[in-house]
Amino acid sequence: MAAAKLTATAIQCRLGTQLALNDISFTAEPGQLTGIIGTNGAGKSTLLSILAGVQNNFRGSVSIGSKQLEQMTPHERARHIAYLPQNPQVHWNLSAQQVTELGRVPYRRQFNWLSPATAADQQAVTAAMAATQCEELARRPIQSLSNGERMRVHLARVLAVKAPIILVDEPTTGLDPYQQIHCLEVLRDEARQGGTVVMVLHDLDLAARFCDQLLLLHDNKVLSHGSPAEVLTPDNLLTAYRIKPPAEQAINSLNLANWQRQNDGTDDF
Amino acid sequence: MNIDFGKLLLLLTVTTLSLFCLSLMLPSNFSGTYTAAPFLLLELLNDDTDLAHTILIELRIPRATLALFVGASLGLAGAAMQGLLRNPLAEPGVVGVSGSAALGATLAFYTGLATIAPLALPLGGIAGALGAVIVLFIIAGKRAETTTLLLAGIAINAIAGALTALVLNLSPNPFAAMEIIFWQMGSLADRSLLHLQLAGPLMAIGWTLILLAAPATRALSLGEVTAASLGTNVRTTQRQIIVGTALCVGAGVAVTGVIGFIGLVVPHLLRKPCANDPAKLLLASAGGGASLLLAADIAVRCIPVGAELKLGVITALLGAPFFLYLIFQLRRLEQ
Repeated sequence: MAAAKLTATAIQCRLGTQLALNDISFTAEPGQLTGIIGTNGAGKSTLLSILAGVQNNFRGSVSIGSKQLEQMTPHERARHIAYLPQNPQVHWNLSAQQVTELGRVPYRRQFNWLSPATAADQQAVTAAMAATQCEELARRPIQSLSNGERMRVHLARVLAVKAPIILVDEPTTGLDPYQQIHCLEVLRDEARQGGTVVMVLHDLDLAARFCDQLLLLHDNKVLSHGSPAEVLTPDNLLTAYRIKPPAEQAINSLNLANWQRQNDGTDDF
Repeated sequence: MNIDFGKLLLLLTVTTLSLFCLSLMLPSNFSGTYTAAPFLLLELLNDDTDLAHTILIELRIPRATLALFVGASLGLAGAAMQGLLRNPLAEPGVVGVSGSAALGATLAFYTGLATIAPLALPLGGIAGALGAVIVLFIIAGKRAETTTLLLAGIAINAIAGALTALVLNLSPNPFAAMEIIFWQMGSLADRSLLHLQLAGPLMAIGWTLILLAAPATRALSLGEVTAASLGTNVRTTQRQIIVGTALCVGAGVAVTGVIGFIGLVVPHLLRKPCANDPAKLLLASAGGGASLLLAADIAVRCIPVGAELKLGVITALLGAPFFLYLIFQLRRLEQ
């Protein structure tokens, strides 16, 4: 699908009496992995759900390319944006393959729900499962999978949409380092292939290593937006997180950032 | 258990049609006052064509068709509710439609309308079910969360149960109370073509609404937020399934009384053969529910006991132990 940039303009959102987001504007470019970071409660997940079009209670506008999100039909929007919320769930014990196939729901017409998948659907599902290394899990029930395996299946479901824009909320939570790195490599690959990928995450090391752009939220506003080097400065981190790096250590030299994923999966992890 | 879905549907259709034909052949009671020989109809068709046609059209076809329709409604609505609420313990009555339909019918009894106009009874039931849906949507509001809907359903069920008990409490004589109690146990005996004509179209509208929501139940496996991101209108789906359930189950309860457990057990039974797919489960459960209710109605007519056995009693007697067995199975799998 054609590349598309995602633009948020003057987003303001109230959840109950609480101001969750205040005047947020930014653009996520195709080909880039954009990370949204900030403390708990800074409004990261709320912002991502607004970008995904599943939270309508806000002011401002979100547009894909030159078209506003609200002008799109739900199906059109679903074909443009693939969204993985925080702590994704599967309520029935579907197989990994069935979960991935749900990514093709936006392409199904209302009345052909009993007909078998089209060639395009099958191809998208196979490619998505291959990209996330889920092929061997295909027939396994989702409830029998580990957290890492489940997250890979959810990522496969997101990739199966074949949407130009991918929004993922904390995909590395609860995963071991190997799985974390793998997950981010998958997302970065999607960006490199022309996708606009926006991800909420907490791990600043991983953010510094994988993201092309970072958006740091603080007090429901944008504190800083730019490359990881521009955003992850000691001043910004002190303001947003109230943390300081050790005096002798540069921010990008924290342990995890230099680690490599072992391809055979049997080494030191 | 990996059965091809097409074969499963074929099996259910053949079972349902066989049971339907068997139901047409059987008299309403083997052991009652008017004992009839089994398959008397076949003999009559040769000898006395007029009488046979009258029996067939006035009695057997409405009874068997109602069993098929009500069973299919219960199975379909049960599967739809489980899909909507993403809870295997959900059943059609969970949002209060069965209880309210029973209340409506009970009021028709109590006010004496049922005696004056026979159609007042089913009409009262249907009005009760629709009333429940209106109250449900008023309580739950525009942005109805699943939990709110469930809680509102529990409240409506409690109110309907309390009001039904009040009506029984105030009933002028024990016979009136007995009549209401027996009616509530569910039965297909002596239902006419008129009942079928009244309930049939409402059920058909209900089925259509539910089946329109089929693809959405599939997306809802991933939760409401993800389903919405996949282009599903969750609110519309909620309305389709709840109004559809109210129409088909409400109309069913209105003509047959309360028949429990089919809407709960049938989707459970068929979930695995349907590979846990909530959309396929809808069709399969409709077939399964129809088969089960036809079988239960045949059982009611064949079991030789003095009084007429009520359908709701049979389905609960068979359904509840079976449900326990399912729970044990589930526990064994978890260990």
